[in-house]
Amino acid sequence: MQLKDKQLGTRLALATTALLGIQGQVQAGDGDWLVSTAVLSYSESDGRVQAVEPVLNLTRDFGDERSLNLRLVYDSLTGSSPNGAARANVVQTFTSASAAGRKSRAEEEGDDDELEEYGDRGSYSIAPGDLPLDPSFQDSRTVFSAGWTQPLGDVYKLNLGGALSSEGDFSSISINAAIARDFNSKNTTVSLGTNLEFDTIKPEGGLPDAFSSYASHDTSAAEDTKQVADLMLGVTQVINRRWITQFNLGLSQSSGYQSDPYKILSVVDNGNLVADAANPGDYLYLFENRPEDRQKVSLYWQNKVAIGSDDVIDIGYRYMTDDWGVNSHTLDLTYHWQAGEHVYFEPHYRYYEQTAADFYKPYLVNGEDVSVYGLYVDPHISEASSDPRLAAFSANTYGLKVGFPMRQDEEISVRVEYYQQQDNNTAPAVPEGSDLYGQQQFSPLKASWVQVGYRFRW
Amino acid sequence: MTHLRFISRAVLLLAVAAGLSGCAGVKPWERDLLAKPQMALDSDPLQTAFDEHIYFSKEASSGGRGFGGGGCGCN
Repeated sequence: MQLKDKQLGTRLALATTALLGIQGQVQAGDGDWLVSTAVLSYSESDGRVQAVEPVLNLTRDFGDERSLNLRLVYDSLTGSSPNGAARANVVQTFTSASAAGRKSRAEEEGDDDELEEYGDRGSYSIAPGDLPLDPSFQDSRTVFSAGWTQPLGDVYKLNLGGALSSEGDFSSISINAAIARDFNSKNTTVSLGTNLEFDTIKPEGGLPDAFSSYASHDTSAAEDTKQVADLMLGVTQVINRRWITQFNLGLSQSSGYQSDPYKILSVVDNGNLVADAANPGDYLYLFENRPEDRQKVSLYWQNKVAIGSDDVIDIGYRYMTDDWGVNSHTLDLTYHWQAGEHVYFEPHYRYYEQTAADFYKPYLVNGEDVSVYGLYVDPHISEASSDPRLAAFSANTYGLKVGFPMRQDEEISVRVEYYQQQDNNTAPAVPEGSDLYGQQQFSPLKASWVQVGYRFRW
Repeated sequence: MTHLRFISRAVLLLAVAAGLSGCAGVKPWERDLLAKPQMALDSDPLQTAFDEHIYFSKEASSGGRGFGGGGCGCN
């Protein structure tokens, strides 16, 4: 332990001298493990989601191209998340399912601390013109993953891995395997991989029935599952001394529970919110429902081109299409500028755009999507969601990373990214003076994040 | 049907890329630039994982580069 502390002290001293631009006499050890650590601080504007995410990654090379990779991620989330209801010109009051569930459980267990924190958050009101956000959003996520790489015969390379992920209301287990073969003096590599994922969704307060009322929160089950199978075919090609390119074709099939159990839709009649007959004074909000199957196809193309002796251009493009009606284009550009032996800069730009899912609706129209007869709701559609992730939008990301390589396998880096969405949806017309008149139903997200990383040999 | 056409075109593109290898021939002693860490296709895997998780939580697309693994409720 003393030795480790000494090693850590040496590394910190080395890191400090490098940051200060001093060429010190300190040398870090040449350990067997490559340790990569990083902390991400993520923040959305308007008091939406805030997250802090530390990561520890260990890689050990056992020689003969055999290596082990272990990763532990912890994610702490707080803040507010859009509940899916429409922005309106009137005050809207919501009884949060997750807060209500937490509150009733705390009452049963006599948990005073939890009651103090959530006791007054079972219900919340949204001012006219504000985006309806559920303020009780709080979760933590822990992910552990492991991977093993080894040669298989003379020309093949095998990769096996798995991951476990756990949140308060969600757990996931996945396994993956990939095989790669080199051709043409290692100038071409062809790989084929597969990933199988098994998820369990267990929302606070149970699984809401599709299109059931938010206030009543009818449930028929406590939990449900989802399975995802991915297949990926990839080709990596060295074009010349300065250019390497990669193509990936990905197929993904997911089936099971794909809805968001906390997302609701407003019911609107001629631009006005429809009242909930079962709960006088409240408006009617219905739980969303998504298809049980989804097939995605993606094509990814990446290029790395060396400029001069140390600079690199990285250009990536991805096209994705799925049977929910979402088509997307992603362009990613990074320039690696090696400003000196111990410092580099990486400006980054990303452009993204997607079409809306076929069942995306900012709200449900009474008489068209559903018919409300007093206490009875008759849905005319089988799926609908107002989740902004399924809407039509484009997004720009601007970033800058600064890295301080100290020696081989030792580096400190800091990066900042800024993300901004733009609304590409066509808003349905509503009568002048109605509850929804003049309100934008898609709220473009603004977010920024900072990552600090340190990599060294142990 | 659209998907099938897209997949067949993509496979054709992959085949063309693989075919390019016939005219490429970078020798081991010419790999000085390709061997630099900044030329690795994924030069910072932790950064890639962070960004993929963020975009997966906020957009309808995911993957392409590799498998995410681990899943996410992402409410």
